[in-house]
Amino acid sequence: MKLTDFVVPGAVIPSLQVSNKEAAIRGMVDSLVQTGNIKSGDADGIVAAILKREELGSTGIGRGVAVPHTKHASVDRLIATVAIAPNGVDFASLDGEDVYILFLLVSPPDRPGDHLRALENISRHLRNDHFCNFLRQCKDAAGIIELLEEADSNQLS
Amino acid sequence: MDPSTVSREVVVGLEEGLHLTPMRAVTLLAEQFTCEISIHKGDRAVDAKSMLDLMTLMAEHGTPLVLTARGPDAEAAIQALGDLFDCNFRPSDRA
Repeated sequence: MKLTDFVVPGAVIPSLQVSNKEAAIRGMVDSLVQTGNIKSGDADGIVAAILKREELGSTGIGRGVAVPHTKHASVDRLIATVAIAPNGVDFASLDGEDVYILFLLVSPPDRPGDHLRALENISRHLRNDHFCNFLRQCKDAAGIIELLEEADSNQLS
Repeated sequence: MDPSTVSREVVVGLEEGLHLTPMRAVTLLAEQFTCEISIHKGDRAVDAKSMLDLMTLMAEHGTPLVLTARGPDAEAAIQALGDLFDCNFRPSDRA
């Protein structure tokens, strides 16, 4: 599985300007609504489900990264979007630091393996400091997609 | 084997595999011990105290894993982590 297999190109947000976790999640879900990957009528339910998941424990995994996610029956395949928050978002992360890179995942309820494969894929690249640094420096959506493609083809070692 | 090294095998009993919530439970528990703790899947090993490491493990339901700890409190660490897998992360795993 590659990043570009599940990240929706038109939904990435190069400069997410929000003041809190809920607004960040709302903005990213709305972005997937705009690309037609989530129906507008499902957006509220998906945001609520992601926030409920956050209550179990923040998906802010440290190193300025969060991976908010949920399962939802309205999607028939795993979809995701990426956002860069230049000013940081308080995500109640494990290390107490603000979050600057967000991967939001929505997966079908019956595909837990795909969810694990996506987490593996994202984390493998996020362990690479070059990937994190370049991602935070991206100025536009095209730059983010290009970086994801480079990561997929292992050009960032 | 080094006398301060302790290992035991566990199996992922979670229907959805070792996803983010139980991974967090693993790191929170592992961080309570001073010993080095690794989790092995086949010939791969990851640091049990690192979320990013654990996320790369991709351990689905039924996957056998080996927990290994090395250090002064290794035995207690493996006991505690083994118990976490044995009780299938209940009651904290509700995701």
